[in-house]
Amino acid sequence: MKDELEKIATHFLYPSNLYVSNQRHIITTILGSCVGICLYDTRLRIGGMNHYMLALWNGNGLASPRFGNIANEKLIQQVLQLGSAKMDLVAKVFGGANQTTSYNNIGARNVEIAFEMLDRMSIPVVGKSVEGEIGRKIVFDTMTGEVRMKFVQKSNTEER
Amino acid sequence: MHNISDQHLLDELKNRFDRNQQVMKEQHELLSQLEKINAKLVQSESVQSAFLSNIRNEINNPLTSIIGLSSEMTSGNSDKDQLIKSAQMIFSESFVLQFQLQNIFVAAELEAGQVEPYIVKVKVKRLLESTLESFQHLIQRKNIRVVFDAPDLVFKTDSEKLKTVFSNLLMNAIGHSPQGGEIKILVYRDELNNLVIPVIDQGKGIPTDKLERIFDRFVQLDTGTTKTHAGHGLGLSVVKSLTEFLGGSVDVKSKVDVGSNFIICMPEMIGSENSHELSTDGNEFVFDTDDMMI
Repeated sequence: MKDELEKIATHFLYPSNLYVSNQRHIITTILGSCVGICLYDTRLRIGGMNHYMLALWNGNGLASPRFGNIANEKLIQQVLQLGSAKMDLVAKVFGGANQTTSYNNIGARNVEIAFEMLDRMSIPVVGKSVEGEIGRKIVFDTMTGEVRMKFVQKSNTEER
Repeated sequence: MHNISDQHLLDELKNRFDRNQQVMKEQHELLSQLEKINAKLVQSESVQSAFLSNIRNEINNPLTSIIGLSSEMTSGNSDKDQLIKSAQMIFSESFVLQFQLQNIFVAAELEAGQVEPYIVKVKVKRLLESTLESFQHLIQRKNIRVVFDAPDLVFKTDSEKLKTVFSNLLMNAIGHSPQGGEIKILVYRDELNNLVIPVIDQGKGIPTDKLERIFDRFVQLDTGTTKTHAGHGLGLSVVKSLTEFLGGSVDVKSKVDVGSNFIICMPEMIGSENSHELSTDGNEFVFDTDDMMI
C-alpha cells in the first residue's frame, strides 16, 4: 500500500480550500472543528474534497470556501463540471469535533450544514465520522473513494 | 396505569409550555437572522452591479491615461522635464492598475478555495519597509508623513500574503488620508507572540453603524461624485479573508473626523504536514466505497 501510494499524486488540503480532480489523487487533510466532505463519483471514479471552518457566510469578507454553504456548493459544482451526474455521487462527511478551544459549538453547526445541503441535493452520505472531541486526519483516494481516518490530538497537528 | 395527581399534570403542562416558549424564542431569533441575511442579499445584488460599472472605470481610466501619455511621449515634441513628468504619471497609473488587478486575482483565488500557504521565515521589518518604499510615490504625492517602527524579528508566515495584506491597508490609509496627513504604523509582538500591525490614518473616519459593512465585498462607503478614493471595494475584504486564512484577525477602530485604526493580529504559522501516510498504531479507520460506518 505504501509503495503504491507513493506513485500517486498527493494533495494536502488546507483549511478554506477545496480540491477536485479528474486524475487520481490522495487528498490529505486534518480536521478539528472544521468539516470536510469527500465527494465521490462511483461511475467516473473521480472525486474531490472541501475543508471549511464555519457553517455560514454572513456576507462579511469574501465568499470563500471557508464557509460551509459556499464550500459545499462549490465542491458539488466542480465535481459536476468534470462531467459527473448527480445520481452517481456519494459523500462521506468528517470532522466537526467540539474541542475545548471552540465555542458556540462550531463543530456541530458545521456538521449540520453538511448533512442539510447533501440531503437537499439528494446526495447520499455513505460514511461519516463526525463530532466528538478529538480531531481527525483524513486521507481520501479520489479514484477508489476510500477514506482512511485517524483520530489525532491537537498538540501534534495544525488542525483547526 | 398510574394515578396522575393534579400537581403532576400542572408540572407537565408547565414544562411543555416552557418548552414551547423556548422553541418560539428560537424561531424568533432565526427569523430575525433570516431577515438580516435577506437584507444583506438584496444589498449585495446592488453592490455587485455597481461593481461592474465601477471596475470598468477603474481599469479603463488608468489605461486611457497611460495610452494618452505614452503616445504623447512618442511624438517627440516634449522636453526632458515633460518626459519625466509623463513617465512618472505612467508609472503611478500602472502601479495602481496592477495593484487593483492583483486584488481581483487574489480575491478570485480565495473564493475558488485555491490559496495555499507558503510558510517561510519572514524578516518582518524588511518586508514592511520595502512595501512602504514601493508606495513612496503615492505617499509623496499627498505629502503624507509616515511614522513607522517595527522590531527586528523573524516571523514564520506567508510573506506574499502578509505583503498583500499590508499593501492593502497602506493603500486604504493613503487613499483616505488628507493632504499632509500622517500615517502611523507601529508594529509589535503581543504577549501571545502574535504579530500586531496597526495602521492608523487621519482620514474621515467611519461611522459606527457602518463599521461592520466595510469588510464586505465591493463596498465603498464613499461613492458617487464625493468619492475621493480609488478602488472598487475589494481591498478590505481581501485583507480580512487573507488575514483569517493566515489564522489571524483584523479589527478596526474609527472615529468620525479623527481617523481610523486598522489592526492586524496574526499568529506565527507552523510548518505544514504534507504526509499522506498514517501511522500504524491501531488508531485507523477505513471508510471503503460501500462501507457504511456510523
